[in-house]
Amino acid sequence: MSAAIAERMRSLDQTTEDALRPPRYGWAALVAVSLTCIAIGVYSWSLIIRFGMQYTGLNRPVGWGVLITDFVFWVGIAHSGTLISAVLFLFRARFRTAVYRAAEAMTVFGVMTAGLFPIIHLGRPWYAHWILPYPNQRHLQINFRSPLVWDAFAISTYFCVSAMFLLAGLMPDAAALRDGSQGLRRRFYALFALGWRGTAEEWRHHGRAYLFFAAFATPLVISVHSVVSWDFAVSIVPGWHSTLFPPYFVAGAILSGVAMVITLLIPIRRAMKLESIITLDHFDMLSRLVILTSLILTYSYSTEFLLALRAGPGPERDTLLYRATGAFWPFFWLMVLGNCVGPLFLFFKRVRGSLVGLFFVCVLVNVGMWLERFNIVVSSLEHNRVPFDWGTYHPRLVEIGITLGSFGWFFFWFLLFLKLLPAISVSELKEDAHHAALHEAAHAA
Amino acid sequence: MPGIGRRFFLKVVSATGVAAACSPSHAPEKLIPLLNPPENLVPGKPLFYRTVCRGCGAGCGVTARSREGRVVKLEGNPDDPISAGALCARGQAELQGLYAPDRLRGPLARQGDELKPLPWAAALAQLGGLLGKLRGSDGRIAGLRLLSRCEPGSAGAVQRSFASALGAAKNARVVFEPRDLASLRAANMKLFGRAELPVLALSRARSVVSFGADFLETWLSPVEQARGLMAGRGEPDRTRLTWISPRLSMSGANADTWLCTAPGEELQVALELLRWLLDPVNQVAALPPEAAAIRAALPPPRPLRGVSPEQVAHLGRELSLRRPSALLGPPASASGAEGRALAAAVQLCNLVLGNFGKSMQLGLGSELDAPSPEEDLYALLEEARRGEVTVLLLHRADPLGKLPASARVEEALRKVPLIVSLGERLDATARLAHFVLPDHHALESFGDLEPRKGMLALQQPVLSPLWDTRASSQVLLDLAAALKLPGIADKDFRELSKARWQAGAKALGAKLDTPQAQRDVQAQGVVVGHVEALQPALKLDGLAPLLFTKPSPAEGLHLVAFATALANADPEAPGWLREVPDVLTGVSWSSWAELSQATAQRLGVKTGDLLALSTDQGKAELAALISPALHDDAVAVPQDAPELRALGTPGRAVRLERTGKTFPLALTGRASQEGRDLARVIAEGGAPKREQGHEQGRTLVAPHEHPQHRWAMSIDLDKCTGCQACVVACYAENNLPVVGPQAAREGRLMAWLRIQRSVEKGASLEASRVALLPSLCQHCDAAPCEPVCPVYATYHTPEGLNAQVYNRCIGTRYCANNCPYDARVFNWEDPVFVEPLQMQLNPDVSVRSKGVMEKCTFCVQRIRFAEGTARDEGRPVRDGEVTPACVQTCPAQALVFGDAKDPKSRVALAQAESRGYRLLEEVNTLPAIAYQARRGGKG
Amino acid sequence: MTRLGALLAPALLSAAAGCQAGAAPATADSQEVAFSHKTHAGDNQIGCTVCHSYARHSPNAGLAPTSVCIGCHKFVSKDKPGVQKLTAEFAAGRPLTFARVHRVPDHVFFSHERHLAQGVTCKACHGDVAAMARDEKVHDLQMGFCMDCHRQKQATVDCLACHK
Repeated sequence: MSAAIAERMRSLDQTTEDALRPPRYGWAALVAVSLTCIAIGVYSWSLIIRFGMQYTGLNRPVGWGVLITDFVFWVGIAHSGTLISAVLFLFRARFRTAVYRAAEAMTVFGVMTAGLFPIIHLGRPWYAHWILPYPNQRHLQINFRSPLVWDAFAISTYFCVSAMFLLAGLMPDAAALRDGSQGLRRRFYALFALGWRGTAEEWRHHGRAYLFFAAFATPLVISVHSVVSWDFAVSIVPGWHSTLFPPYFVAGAILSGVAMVITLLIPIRRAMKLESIITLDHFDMLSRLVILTSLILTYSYSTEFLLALRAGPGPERDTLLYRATGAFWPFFWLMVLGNCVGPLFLFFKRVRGSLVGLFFVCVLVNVGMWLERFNIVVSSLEHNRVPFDWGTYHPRLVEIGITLGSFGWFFFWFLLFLKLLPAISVSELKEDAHHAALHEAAHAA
Repeated sequence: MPGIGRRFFLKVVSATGVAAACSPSHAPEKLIPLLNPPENLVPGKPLFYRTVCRGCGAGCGVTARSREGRVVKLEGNPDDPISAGALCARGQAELQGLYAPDRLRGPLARQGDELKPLPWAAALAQLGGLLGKLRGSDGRIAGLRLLSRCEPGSAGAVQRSFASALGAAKNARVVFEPRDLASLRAANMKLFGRAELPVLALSRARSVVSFGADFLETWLSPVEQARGLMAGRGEPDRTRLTWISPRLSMSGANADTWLCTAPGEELQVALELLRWLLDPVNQVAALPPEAAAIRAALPPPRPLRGVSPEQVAHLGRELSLRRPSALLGPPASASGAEGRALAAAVQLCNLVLGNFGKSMQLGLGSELDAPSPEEDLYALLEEARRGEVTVLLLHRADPLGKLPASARVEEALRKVPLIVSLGERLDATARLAHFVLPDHHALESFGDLEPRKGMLALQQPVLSPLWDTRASSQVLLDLAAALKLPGIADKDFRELSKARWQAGAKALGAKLDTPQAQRDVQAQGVVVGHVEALQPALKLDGLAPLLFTKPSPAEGLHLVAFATALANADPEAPGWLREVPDVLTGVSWSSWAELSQATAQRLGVKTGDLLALSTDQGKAELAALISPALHDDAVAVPQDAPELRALGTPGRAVRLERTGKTFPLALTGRASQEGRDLARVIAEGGAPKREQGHEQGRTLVAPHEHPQHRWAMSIDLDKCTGCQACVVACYAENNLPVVGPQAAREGRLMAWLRIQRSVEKGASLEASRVALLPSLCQHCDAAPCEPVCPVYATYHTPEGLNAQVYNRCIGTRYCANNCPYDARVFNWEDPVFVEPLQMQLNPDVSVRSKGVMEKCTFCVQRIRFAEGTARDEGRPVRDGEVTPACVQTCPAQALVFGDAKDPKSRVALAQAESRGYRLLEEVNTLPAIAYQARRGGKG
Repeated sequence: MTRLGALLAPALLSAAAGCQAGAAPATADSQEVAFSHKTHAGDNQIGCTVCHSYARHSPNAGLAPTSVCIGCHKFVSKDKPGVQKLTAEFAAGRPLTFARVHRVPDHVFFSHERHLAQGVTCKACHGDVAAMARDEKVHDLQMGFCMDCHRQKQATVDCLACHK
């Protein structure tokens, strides 16, 4: 074992140590901000609960608005993690090691956020549990034909699996941290280490289990957002009722997810001095993913419109034309700019290479993806089948407050995660480094 | 599993969950038994009382449904020849008048400059004393006047005898009806010597022509007339309706032809029509002997602006062929010599076409207590201003609130030393009164009236008075007794009325010998005798001056007032009439001023701009609304709008200015179908086109079984007038909350049943048509709302209803999104029923709370009631026995309800009609409601 | 299994009884007059509908108007304090109040008429009242209780049968 390897290992340990000490004041400030947002959100929701949905902008015929938009948006965000960690793991894409931990954490917190909205948007949230199939003295059953029930299952499943996946990956690192710390911290990490001792046996099991989880999680990437898309596709609302939705939503979800990962990693990398670990070619790889999914999305948009236009006059066509030219036309074109045009610039190495450019594009994508969901949900309802009832919808403060709250909630957890747990998988990095070193040694000999 | 079953185990498992889910338990609830049981009242069972609607002059008989001593619903009295079981929107809303929060709750007397509560005894004593002091040597009060609304019955009799006994002046009692058709009355007097209003039998007319007379909204007897007109609709050779007015109002929307006159030009058109009919070259058959004389009396022709001679000739030809016909007019808003002239011209047309005795009947209108001629009223005011009126008794008369400002009523009232108001609420006039002695509501009082000759309508209380009120007639009798007035022997008004109606009933040939027979008559609510309509003899003298003509109105904007079936513009109207949107404009909760598109463009006015209107009488500010069907020279304002009082009587020139401000009009619905052809119109005799390329009735899952009934409805668009009586009835029956202007603006009205409108522009303004579509839950067999509900709050019942279980609903609103008909309504807030309006709530229907979805149930509570009765009587449910509130009250009988499984049922037959189609067939929801396309239309 | 049942049954009943919307079980002191169904319906064999006279032809069973009580108690057991109070209150024109024992939520439209017509006995829901000196709630009268019976008797389980 050469000194070089030992040296490299030490440096890795050092960086992870540093990673757990992000700039204190900055961190505290961010936490404060997100807590404030949460407070605003909670207050907004309390208004709805106390006085009814009259405080939202919803009306007849627009029964769903910003809240459902947020729901779909956050489910989308939750997609990157599983994809990057599980799918890329199965494909043995090595570049994932540096980024997958952060991505997985994002997934878990994303689902935790998304899961709130189906409850918040209810007229009587205090009966939300009725949507679950629990035995009750009334002998009442739930309606398994309803996509909302499917949602409940899909979301909870996705949450459990992604959480398990995250924790499984954490074990070795947590164990390492446990051994290097005392007192409360030690207890805390012991919790995540689950008594990991690092024996060859354990490593073997861990490897197997991890592979199994990856295999198990991969189909979920497809299923979850397909199910979410069925909320719309299964209905008969013009602009919703489309067989294209499942693949279209999955692609969109991955796009928004990866974009969000990049948006978060760039500042984290700076703040935690991870330049040595998360290198530019990691971002290069991720941005290729962005390009791919963005192209799929562009294709879906055009298909949607072409089909509608070919269908001839009727609600379907009216609704889609309204989406592009109606009350919210700026939203539509901003969406096209963000999701279809923006990512094209990533074809240029110069844009991909410069983190600023990449960051900008990804933020634009995130905005675009939120607007996409808004356009789908709202514009379709605004122009349903009976023109007498055509109306408009304007979000109110309450809805904006709750949206703000959801961001606060998401970032609060994410910040905690950054502070307390290693945002990058040290064990796997060491593995890689070891392999590399042995490689060099072999060559040297 | 011995000892413990599956269900039991489930219960055990869920016990904790239940405990968590349930509400905290309240303090022990008290049961308070009655001391003595009231006879024939069974809690939980409805009682039905027959009485009379006093909402307008028509005098429709009503059946009041009462529960636990509270009246919860009004319906027409099927035995009554006027209402025939139907009721208009205003009639339905009488209930909210009864429970109106602003009703007076006890007598008031003026102390200084404010009205203070006072017990009855004291109030009457004081008033009696004051009157006593004012009496002259002959025991009369020279300056006593009594102003009353029209009371064609005992109440009127009491007032007359009181006024004549205590008052000295010969017109001591003046009858004041702001909405009276005075012009028509006067014309009939001048032409035929009968100061009465005609009774229409439109079912006999093959063509109807209305000169702006809103005979389906408020004019004369709307319920009866709607039934009459629509009896001739639906079949290929249907009753034609021609509408002659500057504005296409609701009645006009039912017309096949619209002659859009310039404002005030109706008279010219009527005269030209008369001229055409009388012109020998046109060879109109069977002209009356007076024809020549009438022709001689016609003024010289003048050029028409709005209408072409061809159109007049075309109309004349139609009328000469399609007999009998009925020409109606003028509207209540037409006044003065011009109004009389128009009325005369119209009546002469009827005479020439031989409509009298057939569709247009004279000699039937009640002559009891006819409203006094305007002159009397203005004379009274003048005397008051001169200080000659010392005592003014007002019975349900609000001159200050109803007469135009130009009448200077306030000035007159301020001169009167003693004003006594016998009314229901503190109206403008009552505020100036010295004594306010609140009257019972019509539904709380005994009475009798003669709506028309040969008919007697009996009024009885349907609940005990809510507040400390007294029947005005009783008050007058008490005063008479206190003052020992000569010739007034009766002490008790109820006895007086009873004696009077019994005499009347005997005269009409009713058997009243036994007490039971008397009760039966009272329970029937109406006594109908037989009186022949008479053939009026025309008085030719003074014909020419009557038919004067003045130069047709100059160019420029003129004020036009129009009637609405509801009362959105009337601040005093009950919530239902203000909130249910006007059927043609969609406005609720405010008054508005309509401009034609061209005029609006010319002035640069947009809907919602606040306009300053000014006439030679005064100024008023009104919100602008661009109307698709209005003459360019007209500025149309609803006749209920208080602003009209400042502007003066319609017809005069009006100036418009933009104030720069805007008014947040509450507008509901878009008046366009975007070519989707939901409310269909077919050529007379044609069949509607069906959607192509859809396999009707094929569904993925097998359609539902309906073992017993499949409740279904059929809606005939050729008959629907758009009066919205059904909508208000639905509000009343199903405890729909009134949400107020703000929520209305936000598109959150709670109506389960709405009349959707769409204006189809024609080549010309006159060719534009209004298509009306009553839309409610279609109770689909393959309902899109059902599969998407996660908790089974909505599902398909074995009887074919699309059920909504409120207490299971969690409010995802998915069902509403997925309903292609937008029939579902969400509770955005908890409903508010201002005390004592909550007393009107129907105990058979849950009051929904915030966060719950709701919708039309086909009045399932009424279905259950009928099924229950049938089961008790051990028979199947009869066809027509089950009627939802909307079907029950439809004056035009456009709605039919029944069991579609019974091939002989009326609904099954109606649905099989060739004009039949379902809404949005392409979605294949298999609705339970079939529409019949409107006939004729574009032509 | 049986032991489990025996073990859980009381827990269940208390839990269920605890969540009646607004119904606190009647206790000795919550009743103004110590009225005993045992004396009336039990010992003296007075039929239910004598006092609850609307039960057969209305959704509401109805409660005996005080005048009906007086009808008998003009003559019967005038010495009892409860009866004396009753007579006094009636004379004063004041109604007696009773603490409510059985109740279903407002969104339930239960009809005594329909159930009696189908031959359901009062016992079935109210328990053996004739044996109760003090009224107690025997059945929770929750939806599950109704459903069990409706299923047993193949009565309708259509939601709209009870919810409107």
